[in-house]
Amino acid sequence: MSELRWNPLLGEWVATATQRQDRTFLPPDDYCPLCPTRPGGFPTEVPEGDYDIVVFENRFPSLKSVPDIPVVENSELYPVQPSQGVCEVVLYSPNHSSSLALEPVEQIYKLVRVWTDRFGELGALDFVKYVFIFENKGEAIGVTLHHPHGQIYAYPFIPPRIATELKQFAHYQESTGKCLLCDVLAEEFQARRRIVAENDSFAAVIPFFARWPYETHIYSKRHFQALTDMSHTEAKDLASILKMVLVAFDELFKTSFPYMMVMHQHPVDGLSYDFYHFHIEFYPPLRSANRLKYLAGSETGAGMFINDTLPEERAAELRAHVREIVWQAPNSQENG
Amino acid sequence: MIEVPKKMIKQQIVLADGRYLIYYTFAPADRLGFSRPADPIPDAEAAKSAEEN
Repeated sequence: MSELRWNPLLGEWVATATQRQDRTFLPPDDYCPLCPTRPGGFPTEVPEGDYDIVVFENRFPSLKSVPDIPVVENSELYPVQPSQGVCEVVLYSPNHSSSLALEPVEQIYKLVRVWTDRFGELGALDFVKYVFIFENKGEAIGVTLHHPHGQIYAYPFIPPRIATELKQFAHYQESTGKCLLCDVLAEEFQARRRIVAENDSFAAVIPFFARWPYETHIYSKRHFQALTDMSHTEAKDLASILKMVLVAFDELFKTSFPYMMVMHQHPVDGLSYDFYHFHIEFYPPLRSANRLKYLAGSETGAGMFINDTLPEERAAELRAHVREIVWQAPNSQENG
Repeated sequence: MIEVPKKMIKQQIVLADGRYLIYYTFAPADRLGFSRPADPIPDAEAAKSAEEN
């Protein structure tokens, strides 16, 4: 059973999803439910193996297009709503041992195209107000399945973190007439110390205000709000900069680097968000090769993060591991 | 050098428990050997780029 319960203290929704307690937890590699079904083998989530990317509805969703009826009664203090939405799983590859960092940049480009398609399709559903694309990678983050995959949540409301960002962007626009992230990007290019990688369309930065030691943001250089606003070239450049950052992450400690990756785009509630600016944020939990940053009392209970490192130093460290991506010349790409 | 994958093919099926699953493949389009023809998704951006060129 699942439902949305209102937290009047923080003014935000919490989802209960009791069915998720029974979800598959770290199965052995030869019993992966996300691998393609093998002839004569046990049935997995994916009947066919010959694909580039697969998307399917999560078997253990916290939001459903046809939601359960709430089990508790609504009250003035405690509003309750059906947890209507969509939870999708996105398989990056049929190869169980791969990861987004290990996939060739062409495959990441295909993923960008699929993300774009899902954002458009889920965003068109009348009960969806926000489409959130993300990946949890590594046991340090709490993943229960190792097969390379991400997720998409289509929420029936604008989630609080996004709402806070939107408020900040709107306020900045009102007071300065400019885009907040365009100005952040200009400041980063002036300082250059926190830039990790860049190409024609995107820049990867450990922000001035990083909360995690290797927190890395990818900002579009052009002011736009969503994947669906991107040109063909920008889609290609997004794949490139993702590959550059992911490879640098893995090279840093010679390990498959754990992270949370989240994509911030405009809401899909029909209103205009021209003041907003597309970006991707990575929150890696490692603060050194074998030490994790935990979200303890200050971070969890007060909301103030303490970063034990300097973003300028971590950016230099990460930048040393970035490799350039070279695509074919434009004419041969577009006309091929 | 890296080639840009072009046309995206989308094939949606319904799983035994009613959930949907979508296979995304990129050209060549006939890789999966689907039982019915897959529906190509118009590549608006690629078309736009071709026009620009």
